Amino acid sequence: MRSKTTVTVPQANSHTTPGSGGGKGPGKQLREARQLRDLTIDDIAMRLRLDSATVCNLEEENYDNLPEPAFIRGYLRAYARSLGLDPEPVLSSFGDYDLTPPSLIRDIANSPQIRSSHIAVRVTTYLITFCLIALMFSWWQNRMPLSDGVVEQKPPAPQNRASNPESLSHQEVRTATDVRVFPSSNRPHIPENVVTDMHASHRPSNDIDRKNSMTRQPETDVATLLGVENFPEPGFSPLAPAESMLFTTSSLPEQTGTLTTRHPKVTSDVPMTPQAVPEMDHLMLYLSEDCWLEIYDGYGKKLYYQTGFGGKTYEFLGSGPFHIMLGYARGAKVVYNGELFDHTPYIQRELAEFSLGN
Amino acid sequence: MIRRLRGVFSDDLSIDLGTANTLIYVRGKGIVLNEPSVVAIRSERGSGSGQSIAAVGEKAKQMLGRTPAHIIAIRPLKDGVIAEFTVTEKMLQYFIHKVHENRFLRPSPRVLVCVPCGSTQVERRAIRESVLGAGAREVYLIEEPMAAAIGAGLPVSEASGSMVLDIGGGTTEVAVISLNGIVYSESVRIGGDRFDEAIISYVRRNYGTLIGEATAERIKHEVGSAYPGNEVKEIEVRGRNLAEGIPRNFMLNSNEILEALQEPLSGIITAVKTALEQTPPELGSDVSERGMILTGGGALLRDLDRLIMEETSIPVLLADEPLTCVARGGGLALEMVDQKGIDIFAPE
Repeated sequence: MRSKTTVTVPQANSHTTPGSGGGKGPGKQLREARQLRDLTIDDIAMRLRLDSATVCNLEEENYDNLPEPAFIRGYLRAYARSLGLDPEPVLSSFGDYDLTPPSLIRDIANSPQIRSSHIAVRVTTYLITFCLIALMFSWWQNRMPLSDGVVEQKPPAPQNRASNPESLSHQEVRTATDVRVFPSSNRPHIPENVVTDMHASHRPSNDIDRKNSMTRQPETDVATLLGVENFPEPGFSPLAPAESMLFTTSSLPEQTGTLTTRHPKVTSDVPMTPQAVPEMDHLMLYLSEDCWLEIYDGYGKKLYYQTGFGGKTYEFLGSGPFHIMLGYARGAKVVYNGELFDHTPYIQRELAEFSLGN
Repeated sequence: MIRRLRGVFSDDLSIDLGTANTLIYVRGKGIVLNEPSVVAIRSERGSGSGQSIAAVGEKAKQMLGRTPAHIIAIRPLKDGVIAEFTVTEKMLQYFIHKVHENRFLRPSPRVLVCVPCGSTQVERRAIRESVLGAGAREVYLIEEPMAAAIGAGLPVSEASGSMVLDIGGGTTEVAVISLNGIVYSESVRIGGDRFDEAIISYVRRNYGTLIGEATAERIKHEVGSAYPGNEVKEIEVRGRNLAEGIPRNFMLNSNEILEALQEPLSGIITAVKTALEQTPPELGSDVSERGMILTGGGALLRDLDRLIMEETSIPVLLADEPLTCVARGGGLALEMVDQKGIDIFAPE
């Protein structure tokens, strides 16, 4: 049991006085109020049920000999109230002293804080959000060109084609979800002036080549684009250097192949393979002006659904009958299975819609 | 996984789930919510038997005793524990959402709840389940006297006795704490509500007049006193005269309220004396030398500290901000959740 039997003479205050400078400390305020009321330290000690030494230490602001700050504040409050004073000024002046809190609370105060408002958490959150947005944008970008089900073919280097004709026995056939080998020999005859040069310069995206893996997929409609541009006015000159776009559609049996490229001129020399491929019709569109094109094959499959550019040739292979809609029909010439088709009777206010084939 | 992610964006909370008021403390922010534990429930008219929450907190409290037939304003906690499980859950859900408003994700915080030390295992489980149902990720329980002692700044981790008397709305907790543990504790189901009931009962008995809970609470706040003083305060009260059946005005003074509060006050004094009797002598000596700390809303009753001091002859000290001591102490304790070697939490 701790004992405090005598009233010790208060020692010099070990704490610095409050930073308020000339402001009175809580002890001095209470002592002056007590002396004004002609009360002794013992009277106060009796009222508060405290030792006289404790009251004395309070007045002398000798807090080293007193318990924890929570008790000191309680003593000061009780002391002030016993004198009829408002305890708040006394307590606020005591608040200027920087006393050590209890150990548990001190440990808590010193423990590291990581909250949602912490800069590290915020930066991490922003990074994650940015990455998610970037991934979604990338996914959306890659998905856009495949929406029409038409993809392009990456052209090979000409010297490779010449030096290794066997590798050209297959043509690349790709869909939105698949890449297939399509025997080029099964293709219908294409006028050579159309497929002479395949050094295409306009490629919507090469990402598809990387993204489309060689997987199996049965009975999938396919389409091929052999894109060449700047085809001259369709005069059917066999020597005219031409660039065209070739689209084929077919329902093929399941096949697996390697991703290759071909030159159409070369592939026409490859012997026909015995694989069963349905008869295909050939449609060519020569555009002198920009023209909206909507091409559907006999199965109702959408082959092309966007603007065709003037000066280009578009080829389509597929099962007829083709259903064609031309936005600016006067700027287009239609060749079906090698024969020029006169579509002028179908033109109504620059627009023509007709079907070709049986 | 999703809860953890949501937890990153949630502040850990300390909730003083009191009978009268619910306080929520967030570290770094302090007390962010202090609302009455009252919920107004609207019964859907006509088709169906559905019920919906009409108001929670302060708005609901204003409805107490003033509701039409299809709305009932209830206090889902009685005597410090849950009386209406579902309503408590809804109330907590509302409060948690309120302190996390302007957040994109639904909050899923870690929550520490203060429970009466006299609550049973079933009552503690009910509190835990209710808080989990309100969206908490993890729930910790701490006994109210421990939280009050930490919030009041007592040296609970030291080898010395610290006595705390927490007078809440439904219960009064008295405990002696040393070395991060409760050496002795007792909980009596006397609190601010019992004070209000005592005043209502006194007025009905002596004035033949019926007053409501809100009026009784106002009387308690304005002229309530636990010890006779030199100053006598008066208040004008309106109530329904039971004989005439019409509202009447009458005056009450602080001495009458002191008389009315004698029964619940004597219950608290008895609990304190019992605690002092049961406390080991070494710790009792510490308490006698340094005094006991008074926390909780009941501590604001005028001269209550003086009454206890006169009855026990030991110093009785009022804590700073006694109403928020428990919530603040819970918040500080919540910081210790991840630290090893400190076991200040209550078992279920």
